[in-house]
Amino acid sequence: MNLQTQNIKPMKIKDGFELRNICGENIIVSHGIENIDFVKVISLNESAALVWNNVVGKDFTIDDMVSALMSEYDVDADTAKGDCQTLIDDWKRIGFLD
Amino acid sequence: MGTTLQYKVAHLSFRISFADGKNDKSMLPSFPPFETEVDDQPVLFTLTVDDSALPPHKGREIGQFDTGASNNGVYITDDGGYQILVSDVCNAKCCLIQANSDFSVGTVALRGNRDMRQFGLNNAIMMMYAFASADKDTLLMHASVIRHAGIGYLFLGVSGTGKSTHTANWLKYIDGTDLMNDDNPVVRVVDGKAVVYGSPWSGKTPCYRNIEAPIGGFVQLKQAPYNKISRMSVIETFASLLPSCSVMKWDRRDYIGVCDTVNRVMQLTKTFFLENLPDEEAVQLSFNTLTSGQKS
Repeated sequence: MNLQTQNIKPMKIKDGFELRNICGENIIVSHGIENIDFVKVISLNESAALVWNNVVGKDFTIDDMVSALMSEYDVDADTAKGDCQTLIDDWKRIGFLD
Repeated sequence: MGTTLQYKVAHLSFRISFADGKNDKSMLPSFPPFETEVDDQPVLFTLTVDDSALPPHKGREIGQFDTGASNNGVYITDDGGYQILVSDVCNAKCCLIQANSDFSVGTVALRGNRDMRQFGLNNAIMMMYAFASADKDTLLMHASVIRHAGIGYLFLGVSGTGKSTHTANWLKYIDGTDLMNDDNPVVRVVDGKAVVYGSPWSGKTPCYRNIEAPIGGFVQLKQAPYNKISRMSVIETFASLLPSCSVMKWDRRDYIGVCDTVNRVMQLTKTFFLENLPDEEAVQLSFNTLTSGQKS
C-alpha cells in the first residue's frame, strides 16, 4: 500500500464502543461479542469527545476530524491536524478503529 | 399438576412455576423471606422449572464464563433468545436455561443429584433476575453489605480481597451494626435515591434478609500492610462499580442499562478506596470516613 492510499483510506470506530457521560466524564464503554475481552475504562477530554461524536458510526478521514475540531475551537489547521493524528494513533493503539 | 410461587426482591416480583413433581420450593431454602401471594400483576420475569424442556439446538456460542462457583456456557439462538448451560464446580452440567432476549420469560431444566439441581435452580433465578432487571434502574452487585443507623454501606472487591472479613470486623467492633447481605445485594435507584436491598443470594454466608436501606457509600477494598482510605475519582469509581455488577457485556440492552444505572448511583453516592489490614483500625477508619460523610 502506498502512502497516498493510506492517507485517504477512511477509518471507522468499531461497533460496540459508545461514548457515555458518566458523572461529567466522557467515558467509552464497550459491549458486543467482539469486545468481550476489552476491559479498559477510557475517558476522553472535551475536544476528543467532540471529534468522537462527529465521526462515530460512519467512515471518516482525518480531514473530517480536523473540520470538527476547527468548527468549535479557535485552532489553526496545522495544529488541529497534528492533534487529530495523535488522537488517531491513540485510538488505533487502544483498538477503537477498524 | 404444577405449582406456581411468587417472590419479590427489591420490590421486583417474579414467578417460578414447577411443571412437574420432581422439583419443588424446598429447593429454594433462602427464598421464604421473599415469598408473596401469587397475583395476576405483571412481573419482572416468569421461570418454568421443567426437566423435560430440552432445547432444539444451542445456537451461536458467545463464550464460556467462569464465575468461580460455576461455569456458564452462553449461546444466542436464531430467534435472539438465550441458552445458558450451567456447570457446577465439579464441571458437571446441572442446569440449562432457555430465555427470550430480555429474560422476561424463561424455562430451566435441571440435571443431576439434589445438590446439583438446587445449585442450578438458584443460579438460574439469579441470572434471570439480573438480566431481566438491567434496564430497570437495578443492579445485582457483588458486595458485602453492612447496615449502621439505618444506612447501608457496600464493600467491593474480587473474591478473596477480604470483604467478608472487613464486614465481620464491623459487626465485632461497631455497635449497632448488622449484616444485610454478604455476596449479592440488589442496588436500585428509587425516587432519586440509591437504595440497597437484601436478596436470596448471599454466597457462603446464610444471610437472606428482606430488608432495605439508603446507601451511605461504597468502599473498594484492597489488602495492604497498612490502613489508608481515600476518595476515588469518577473514572476509578466507574472502573470499580461496573465490574462489581452482574452484566452481559455482549448484550447492548443489558450492558448500557447497567452502565446508566451505575452512573445514576454514582451521582447519588460516594466511593472510597480502602487499603487495609484485617484489623480494628481498618474498621474504625472506614466507619469514621463513611459516617462523617453522612453528617456533612
